[in-house]
Amino acid sequence: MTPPVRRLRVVEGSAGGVRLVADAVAATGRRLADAAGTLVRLREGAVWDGPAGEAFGQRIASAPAVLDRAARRFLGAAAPLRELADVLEAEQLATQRTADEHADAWGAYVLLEDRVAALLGAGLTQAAPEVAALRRAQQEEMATVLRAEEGNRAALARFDAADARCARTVAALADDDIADSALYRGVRGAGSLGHGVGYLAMLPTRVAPQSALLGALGEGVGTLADTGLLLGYGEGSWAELGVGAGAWALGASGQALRKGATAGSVLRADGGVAVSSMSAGERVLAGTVATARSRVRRARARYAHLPERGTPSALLGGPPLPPSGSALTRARAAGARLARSRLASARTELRLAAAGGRQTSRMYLAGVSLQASSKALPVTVPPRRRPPRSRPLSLPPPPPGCSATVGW
Amino acid sequence: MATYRVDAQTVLEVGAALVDLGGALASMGDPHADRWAFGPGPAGAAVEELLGGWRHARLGLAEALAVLGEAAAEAGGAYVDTEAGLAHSLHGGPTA
Repeated sequence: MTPPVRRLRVVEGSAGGVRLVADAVAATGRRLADAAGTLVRLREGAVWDGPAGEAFGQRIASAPAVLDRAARRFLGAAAPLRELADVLEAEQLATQRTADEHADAWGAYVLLEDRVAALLGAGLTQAAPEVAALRRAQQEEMATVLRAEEGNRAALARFDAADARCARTVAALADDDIADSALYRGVRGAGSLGHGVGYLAMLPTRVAPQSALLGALGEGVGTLADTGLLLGYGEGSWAELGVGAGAWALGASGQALRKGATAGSVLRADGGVAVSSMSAGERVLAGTVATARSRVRRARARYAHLPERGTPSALLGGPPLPPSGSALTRARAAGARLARSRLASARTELRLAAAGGRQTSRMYLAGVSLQASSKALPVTVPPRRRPPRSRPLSLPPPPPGCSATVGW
Repeated sequence: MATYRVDAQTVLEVGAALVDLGGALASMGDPHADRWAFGPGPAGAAVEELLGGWRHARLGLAEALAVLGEAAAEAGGAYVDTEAGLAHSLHGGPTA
């Protein structure tokens, strides 16, 4: 009985896909290298001369090194990836061709075998010329099968060698001092909530100590508020409370939690909400970046309203002065606009946060309570007491004959 | 005595650029999504490790840059306010 046709292995993957990855890796590497160069110039005080500028330079000192290492990873990977893509393309074609030849020849062999069986069944012997001709044709097909198998093995071996060579080069690039530690990888694998709490707690100290202090105070109050919710209303669970506690360890602000809760959620044109999957830690970081963006926008807006040449240093090329007139009117109008837009955005935020599930809803609610708490903090400091108003002196009535209007 | 030589707008723009860079680092995609292109061989795993195996440093740097950029932008805004207040006082008005 003829064995069934066995399909030869074809090289898997996509040369086009690998080339796209190589292009993206090269572009990202160039951007990281550019950013590292820019940060080196900033560190050297190119734009900011003064005590704050020096502090800025010190705080940014390690960033270029990390970016430089990352750029080395990305830029170094582009060439071996392109080389792999070329080999993948060539050997994928070769294995495909040999697999097709093998399948065709094997199919023809099986067909010839069926015809031989039919002739033998009709009474002919193996020595009959018709049967002998079919056997010779079978031998030719079998030779093709063997050649195809040999060619397929060789193509697979060439690709495997190139794959291993690329893997060795890339693995060497990954062996640097920004690689994730084994401890970090272990913590990451401990599940979604544990992952978020664990790796957030391992992050370095925040750069701006003053805001970190305020953030830590606010988070403390917020965690207590969550505890109150749990004890008073039976909402959530102790495990859920860990989200707030982990964010507290990071020093994430309430605003960052609120923005993080809505990160990855997009309001569609039809009013629905599309959600992407993000871990708790990534959401907190996305919220921190979004908060920083909004504050930068506010700082920029302050600068944008200044007219030309209005400040002392404007005479020397510095920033200009804001118009002094009607500032109060503008501020009131801006306040009303802000209140309206906040009301609308709060409704949208709530929908976006709810779309991400229970975790994002908890983050959002924790963020709102933390933000309210941190705003209330300065008020908890008792204001300086005003001196008690002195009681008016009650003078005795003037003696007879004296004027009551005598001055002092 | 401290001396200052500050271009407030540049400091603001530096802050914005740092926040942008921090945001880009924070939102770098998951390299596992492109693993299929490499097939089942060791190169795909190595590339995934290379591109994704510095996550701790990446996210830490992203956060540091976002916070530092925010601080720089706030500082730039504060310099603008100081300039404006000083100019106002020099023009005869009260300072804030």
